[in-house]
Amino acid sequence: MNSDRNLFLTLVCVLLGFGVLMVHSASVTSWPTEFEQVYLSRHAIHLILGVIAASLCSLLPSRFWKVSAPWLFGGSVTLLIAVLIPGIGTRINDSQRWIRFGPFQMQPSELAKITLPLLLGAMLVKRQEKLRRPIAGTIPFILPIAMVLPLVLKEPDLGTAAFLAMSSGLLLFLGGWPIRNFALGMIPAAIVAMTLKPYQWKRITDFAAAWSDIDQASYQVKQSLLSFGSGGLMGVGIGKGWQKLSYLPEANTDFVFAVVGEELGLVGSLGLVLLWAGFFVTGMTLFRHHERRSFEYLVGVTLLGQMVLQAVMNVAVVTSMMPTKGISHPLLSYGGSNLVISLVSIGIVVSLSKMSPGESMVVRDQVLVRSENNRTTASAVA
Amino acid sequence: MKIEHPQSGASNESLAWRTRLLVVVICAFWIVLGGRLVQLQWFSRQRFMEQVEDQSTSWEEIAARPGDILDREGRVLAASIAAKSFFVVPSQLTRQPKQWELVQAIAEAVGQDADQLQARIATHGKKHFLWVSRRITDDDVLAKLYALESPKKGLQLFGFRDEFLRQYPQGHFAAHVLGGRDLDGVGRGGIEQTMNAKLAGKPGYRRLMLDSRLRVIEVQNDLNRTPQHGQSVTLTLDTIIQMHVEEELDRVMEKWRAKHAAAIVLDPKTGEVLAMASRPTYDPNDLTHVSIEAWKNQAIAAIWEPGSTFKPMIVGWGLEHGFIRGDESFHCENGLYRMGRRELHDHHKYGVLSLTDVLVKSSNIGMAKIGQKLGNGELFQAAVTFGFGRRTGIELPGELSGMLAPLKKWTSYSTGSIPMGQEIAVTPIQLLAAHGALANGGTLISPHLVRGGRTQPLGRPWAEKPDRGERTADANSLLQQIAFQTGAASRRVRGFASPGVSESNEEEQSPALPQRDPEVGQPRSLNIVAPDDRELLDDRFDLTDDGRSENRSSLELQLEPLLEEPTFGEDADSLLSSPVVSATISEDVCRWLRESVMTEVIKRGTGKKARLDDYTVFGKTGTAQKRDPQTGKYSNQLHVSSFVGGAPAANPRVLVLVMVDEPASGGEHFGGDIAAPPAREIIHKALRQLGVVPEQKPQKTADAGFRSPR
Repeated sequence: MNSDRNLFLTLVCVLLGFGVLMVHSASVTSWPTEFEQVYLSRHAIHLILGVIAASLCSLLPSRFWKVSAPWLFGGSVTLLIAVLIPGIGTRINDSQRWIRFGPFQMQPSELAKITLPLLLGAMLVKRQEKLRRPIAGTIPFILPIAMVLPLVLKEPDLGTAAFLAMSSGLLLFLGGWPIRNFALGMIPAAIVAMTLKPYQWKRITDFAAAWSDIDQASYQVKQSLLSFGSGGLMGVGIGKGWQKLSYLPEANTDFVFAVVGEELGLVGSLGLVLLWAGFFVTGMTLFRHHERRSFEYLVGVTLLGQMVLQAVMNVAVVTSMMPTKGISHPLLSYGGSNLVISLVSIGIVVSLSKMSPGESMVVRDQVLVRSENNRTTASAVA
Repeated sequence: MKIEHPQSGASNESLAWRTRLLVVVICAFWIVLGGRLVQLQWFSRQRFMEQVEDQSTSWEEIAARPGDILDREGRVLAASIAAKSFFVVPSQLTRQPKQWELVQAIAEAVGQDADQLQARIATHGKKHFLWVSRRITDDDVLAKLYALESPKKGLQLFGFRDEFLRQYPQGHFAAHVLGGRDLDGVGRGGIEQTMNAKLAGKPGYRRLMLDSRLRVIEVQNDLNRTPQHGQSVTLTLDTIIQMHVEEELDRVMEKWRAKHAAAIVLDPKTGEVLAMASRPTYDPNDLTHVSIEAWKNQAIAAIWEPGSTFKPMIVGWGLEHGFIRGDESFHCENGLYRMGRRELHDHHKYGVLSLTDVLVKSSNIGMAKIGQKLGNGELFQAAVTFGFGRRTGIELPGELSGMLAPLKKWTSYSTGSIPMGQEIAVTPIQLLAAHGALANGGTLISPHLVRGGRTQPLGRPWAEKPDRGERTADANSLLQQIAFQTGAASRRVRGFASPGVSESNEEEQSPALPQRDPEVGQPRSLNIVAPDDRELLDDRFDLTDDGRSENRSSLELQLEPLLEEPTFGEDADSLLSSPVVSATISEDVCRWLRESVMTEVIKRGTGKKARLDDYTVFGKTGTAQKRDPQTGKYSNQLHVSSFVGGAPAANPRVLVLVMVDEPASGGEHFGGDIAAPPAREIIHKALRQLGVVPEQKPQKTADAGFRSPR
């Protein structure tokens, strides 16, 4: 158990180290300014803050999360409302997503990535019996989602909204929500799609054209693809990338993976893919003995899954397999609040993976018996 | 326990597939993305790498300095000086919020209209480069431009490039020979155009690495190409003679208010053009305001019916091939001669005239009778042999070939018209080249302007074959062809020439060809200089500029006896730099025409105004009626007055042609009145410049008739 967790944490550390390296390299521009060093130090500060927060979270008992889930959710909804109020929220590039705290700023929508699954997980466990009911099994679950999504869409932050919808869906799916509810869920999704703004639609249609003709791609995506191509097999060498200097926009945030592709080549980019696969697999092994309907299992796997999916989506965007979204690469990209949130969710995952002493005793027994009869042990756990 | 919690276990199992599905889907995602990465980084890498290089590198041109154009003494006719050119980057400039202020400042500095400049920048808004002002010479303008500041640091909105400004220090001097260079530095017209490949050089390139805002990040020195500066071209022009020619032409234009005029000075022995000028003219320093009329080089592109200046060639041909005799007389019918249905008139009524007087008095009727003796076929051969109807091949663009109708279109009219220089149209350079053949003893040499041989033969049969061996062979076959056409090889010169002369002519024509060509621009080895090789010695003196004229004069005296009998063979080396030569008529006939006829024209004929006291001038005047553009008939008002002549008659060193088109004032139109006086001045000053020692008064050349050379 401990060795699994150590492997998991080791992989997290490798990813973080990779991130520091790439943020440092990708922050260099063709016209050097003092900002380059600032990027690295800010990243380091966020990293330290995140690690402290994650450690604290991992020390908390899993019960804490279950109990405080509604309060945490309530807090993040408050912040989501607050960010929309002029004066409190900071407007950058026509989006009102940030709240400033002194030198730091945070995105409440990032916070919702943790608090929404926590709440939904807690509700699911409480309402196990009512899951199949048409009203009592649907409305209460949809309600928190319906509270958060419009607020995030209002900022507007389509990417995060879609992401929140996805991870909520993932949790409900894992928690045994009836399949028919998902079919019905398609209807509001279609309505949302119809209310998209033109520039949002253009993002979606642009990427498909780029598959056949790179010149059709948006500037960002085109430069990203060129970065990968110019990296080739072995890459141009770390720090020697040309594209990041000026051609590739957001090189140290959303497109940091393209810089990896250019500087470390196919070897580096596939290596990173393997790291994420390892992260996911070892993360899942932390929960292999948990009851599948337990709060710990549902939330832990959801947090793991959504982090890996964020990485998948980021890689898909920079390789033009998905329309452009402001999705950063978890643990790798520069970007304060996302890094802190990612680290906090890892801390929560660790916290949830630890079983209460009583439980762990049972599990130890279970391990012994498991080899003999799986079915028996499963019922013995209960 | 089993029974107590059957649901829980069953539901655990029923939910397990959901977790497995999640794992499978995420793994599938990674596999797809891994495949995509392989596609991008392995299979497309070549294409993408090229695109990255394409977008991030730029080749900046480094201008090559065009070579100078020098006269035969090395005086500068055209030179290049370094100058700054100013450009803007519209793609960046149009994005700037304060672009208007900057555009205003630029416009004010270079003296352009700000609105127009702004409009130009806007129309080229997506381009990365736009010239604003090129080759700026004004220091104040440069200082203002240097003082401009980019509103945003590190962003290139404008900049300078080094270019070369072509300068013609003498202004309109020899403009038509030189041509000019356009805004892009490409040679237009004249030597600048024909020798552009040599003069322009090859620009160099600098490979620059640019960032997305077009800022230069790195200069890749290993891939640079240094510019190859152009080579200088030395012309055969003599600046001093050219200056006199320009002066005389200006005077002519002012005095007679002519429409056009042209003058050429030729060294008849070598075919070197010593001076060439055309009016109206232009200043090659500024090609933007040149009218088409001024741009045209009258010396090579004016065509007119030559009139009397054409007559000596016909007479020479008739003598050479025995159709007429030197001592023959012609009855000139007292000024009115019916030739079939046609009536011919002379300006004055003449009775019986000797052959000499037919030319001296320029009797049209006498010439028509000579024409009848020759017949159309021979007249045509004469015109072809003397180079009419085709370009001379001088190294200038825009040369016309004149007009010589094919023989089958000739009528009985032609028999009378051609001998008096009608029904045929010539260019000044063509006519001068033909007279050059008379002056040098019968060799038609293609006139040329570039010293040290031509690097780029124009309109020659061997233009595509730079190999020198083939060139000689071609020249040989060309000569044979001409000899065959004219039948010179089979005919005896009848009437006055001894058989020995004609035979020596035949024999010596072949070695007269340039068997070896001097390498272009390569100093000739003195080892190969024959002792009597005047041209080569002259060239050697060229290298040692000091005291040249002194050397020249003493040389002149020394060589004088040798030159008494300049035969084709001995003179062959003097033709080294003249690639095209062909035989026309024999030395004896030429000498007779020159010393007995054309000197008489000056002494007592139409060319009296070209007479000089210290040199024996020979020449021929021409007064051609132009066809009225409205009626299509010969006009009594519109004339082309011309004079061709040279000196000294015994050994011509210069040959001058002056052509004045439509002299309007003063009522004069005769070539002897209009063209002869400036020609006389030019001849005189050219001879002085060349250091030709003044002769004693010639001893009665007129009465000597035809003399045997030996």
